[in-house]
Amino acid sequence: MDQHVLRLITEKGINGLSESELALIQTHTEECRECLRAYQAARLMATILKARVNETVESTPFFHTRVMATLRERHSNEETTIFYRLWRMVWPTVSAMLAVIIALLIGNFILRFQASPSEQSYTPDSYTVETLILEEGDATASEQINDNEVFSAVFGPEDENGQDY
Amino acid sequence: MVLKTDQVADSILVSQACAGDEDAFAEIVRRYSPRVFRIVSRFFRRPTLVEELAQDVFLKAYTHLSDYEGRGSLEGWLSRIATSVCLNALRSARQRPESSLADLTEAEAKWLEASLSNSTVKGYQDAEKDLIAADLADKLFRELSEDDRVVLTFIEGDGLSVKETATLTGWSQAKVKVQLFRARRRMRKVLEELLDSQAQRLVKS
Repeated sequence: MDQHVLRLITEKGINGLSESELALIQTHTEECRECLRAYQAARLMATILKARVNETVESTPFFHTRVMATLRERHSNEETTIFYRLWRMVWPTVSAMLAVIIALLIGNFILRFQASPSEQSYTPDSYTVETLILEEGDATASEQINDNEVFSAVFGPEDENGQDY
Repeated sequence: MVLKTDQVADSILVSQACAGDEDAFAEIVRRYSPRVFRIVSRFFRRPTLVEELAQDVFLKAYTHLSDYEGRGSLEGWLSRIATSVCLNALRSARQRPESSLADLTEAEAKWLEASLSNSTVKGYQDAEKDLIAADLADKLFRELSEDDRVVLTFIEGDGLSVKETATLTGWSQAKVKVQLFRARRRMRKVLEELLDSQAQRLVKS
């Protein structure tokens, strides 16, 4: 086997050989069976590959329409995905805040309704000397209180000796 | 003067598309879908799969449109994305061969025989012969790696230069050369074994 011939075939390929190189190879392969086999294989390779690349699938007329439709669909999916991802990031914080607010509201209502009567603020009707005196004006003459009664009401009753208790 | 869309330069279309102009990007798709389909067709044959991958190319291009700096052509940029998408698809689709080279059909065996003897394959139309050859190519590729397939397809099949292949794949030119050398050697070995087995079959029959 002639290594030079083999190297020529492998390095340059059948299509890359010059006329002189082809002539050299063809002369040599008349005598060398192994190089003939290598040369035949190289020729077959070139023919087969040429036939393969000649087979082409043509682009369809509405291919660009389908590409644009796919792009638009992808955009709308991405927008949905962005909102979804944002929500996934913030939902623990938002949920915790809502839970605190709800707990505070519930606690407030519970505390209000559970307050005891003694704790309820009691505001007795207050009356003052002025009220007594002013209300006196509504009463008839016989019902009006006299001065002694006024003093008794404000300062307390006097003893028999006219002294306050 | 208002320019029609098909007269607008690629760079203007790209900046309009980056600004959100859908019509500008639709025009980019219309202009370069034939090129992208051609590249994807190099590696896949099913029309639905080719269209699906071509769509992936443009969706990826849209996502990275702002990365296009305008230094090379938009066509070249899209071609690189298409090559990358195809390579990834080839790698993820890597599976056991459904049929091996030993299971050649009668048509494939006839084609091989005729090709070796430089005669014509009788009984088949030209289009059928091309289909047989393309089927053979797919069977052969299953014996090689994805990188081998890419470099052989572009250089041996498409006739691209090492430099052009390096630009498409993003590899260095040195890597392309080494990969090409190894790929040719591997494919040649596979074909030699196939020819030997065919010769033995003919001797037995």
